[in-house]
Amino acid sequence: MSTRHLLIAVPSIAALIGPLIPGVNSAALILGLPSLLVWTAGWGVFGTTAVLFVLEATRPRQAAGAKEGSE
Amino acid sequence: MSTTLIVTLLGILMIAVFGFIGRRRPTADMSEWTVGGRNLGASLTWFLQAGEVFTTFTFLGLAGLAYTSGAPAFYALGYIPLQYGILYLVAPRIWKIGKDRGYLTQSDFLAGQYKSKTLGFIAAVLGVAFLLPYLQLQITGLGLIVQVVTGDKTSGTLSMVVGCVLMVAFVLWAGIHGVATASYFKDAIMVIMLVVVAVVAGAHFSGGFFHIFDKVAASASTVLTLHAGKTDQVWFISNMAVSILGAGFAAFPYIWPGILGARSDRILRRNYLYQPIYAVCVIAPIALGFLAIVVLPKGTSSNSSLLILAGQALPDWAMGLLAVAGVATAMVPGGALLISLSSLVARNIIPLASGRKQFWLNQGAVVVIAVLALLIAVGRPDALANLALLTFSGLTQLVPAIVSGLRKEQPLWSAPSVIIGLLVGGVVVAVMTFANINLANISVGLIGLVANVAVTVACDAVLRRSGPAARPAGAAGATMEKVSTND
Repeated sequence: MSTRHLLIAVPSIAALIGPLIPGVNSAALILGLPSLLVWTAGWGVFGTTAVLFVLEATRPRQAAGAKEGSE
Repeated sequence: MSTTLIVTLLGILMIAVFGFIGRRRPTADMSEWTVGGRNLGASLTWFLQAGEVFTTFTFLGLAGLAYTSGAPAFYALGYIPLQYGILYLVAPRIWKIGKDRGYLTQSDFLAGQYKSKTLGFIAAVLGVAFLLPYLQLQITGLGLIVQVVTGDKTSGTLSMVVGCVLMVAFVLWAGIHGVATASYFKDAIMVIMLVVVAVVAGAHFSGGFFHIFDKVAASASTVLTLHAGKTDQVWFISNMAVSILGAGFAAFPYIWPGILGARSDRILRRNYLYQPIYAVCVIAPIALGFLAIVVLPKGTSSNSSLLILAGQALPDWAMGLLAVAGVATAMVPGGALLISLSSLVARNIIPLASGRKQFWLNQGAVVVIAVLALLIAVGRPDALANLALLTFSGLTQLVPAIVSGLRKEQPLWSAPSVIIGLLVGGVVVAVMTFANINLANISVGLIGLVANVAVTVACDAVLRRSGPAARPAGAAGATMEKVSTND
């Protein structure tokens, strides 16, 4: 675990505080979908994916090499 | 026999065929049967892990939750993808430790890391106690699906028996490989049918899928938001948080074979990069649950809402295919549950046998557990309902023990501290659930987890002060060779 792994907490925290944000917990529709659904799925699906791609792309070379070698 | 029932029974047979082709011939090796000899490739691991997420709860329960409560159902769209962020870090570590030390189950991990067979035994007993109702729920769900689409209770019971027998057969034959190959079929038909139902029912009742929520907003806009009541913001946030923690830190024993069976840690990491995107499928049953609010009469059975809605828009043969998709979401995760439950029994609860004897004990456990779950599902489907309420919040109490056991040198906390914390967390969850104690709508799992960690930390501090003799070192490094010579 390194500090860059804390990035993983960002989508979780954002998704969790969503219901407390008045504009998010509203009956408004975005692209035909409820705003709370868009916020939760946005952070959950796309936020998590983006963060994981960043973490995978920035894995330390030494660690990455060792892991590939273990296959 | 109706067209729907014929299509459904053929589909059940097809699921089993996919399960059987997972192996050319059966194995008598526990490691091969449980974790595929730790040689599962990327696609098998992908479908195995994705398959465990999409159960009858996702198929029927989420639509039911949306139908009865509205916006609270969105919590699944958060916790399902968000768990993969934690698993990306945790699963490769579990995989490496498991490979180095020969672990086949979650309880192997706990027993080995803490050098405490007692902890392994307690975790296994809790796993069986909480997962047996979950297996029964899958079988009950299977019967409900067929009963609703055929309109005949006898067909539902017949399907439960046929589905259960075939599930046991392909699990005994092919083990984890069978569940993985059956997952290919299950995920394909499930995704196709969810899209078909969402598009067809959306067009039929509201002029298109993207107009479903317009129709809901026009006549029942309050269901689109969280508001005061039993499922308010606190309920939403705390349940999403506890579900992320439980699933992310692998507190549920049935996800361990999928992790331990991977050929490499790279496969796990790469799969977790894309798994969150797959969670988008969950939008379909949730949207259909919302559509049911404005289309179906009040008082409709919530768990049947998706099927009843589909029945008004699809022809009989398509309803048969929808039933097959639903049955697959019961049989395939049911197979994974059987593997997990039987291996906990054979390796951690009855540690008398080793090697070949352990394998046959395991196979016997598969049959006994399945028969028990089927008998309860057919005879007294509500008998384990209370225990089922505890499944996720109860198993989440294993999170502190797993996190502490992931350390390289030795666990952060000692085995006695973790055991006491686990028991306290479990008791808090059980008492609050059965006594119906509501603390501001906070998830009981989260309350139990806070009590669990507080007690674990306090006990460990007391044991540390009492000196090393009083704090048994749960030094990591024990292998499971002593338990099984067959790994």
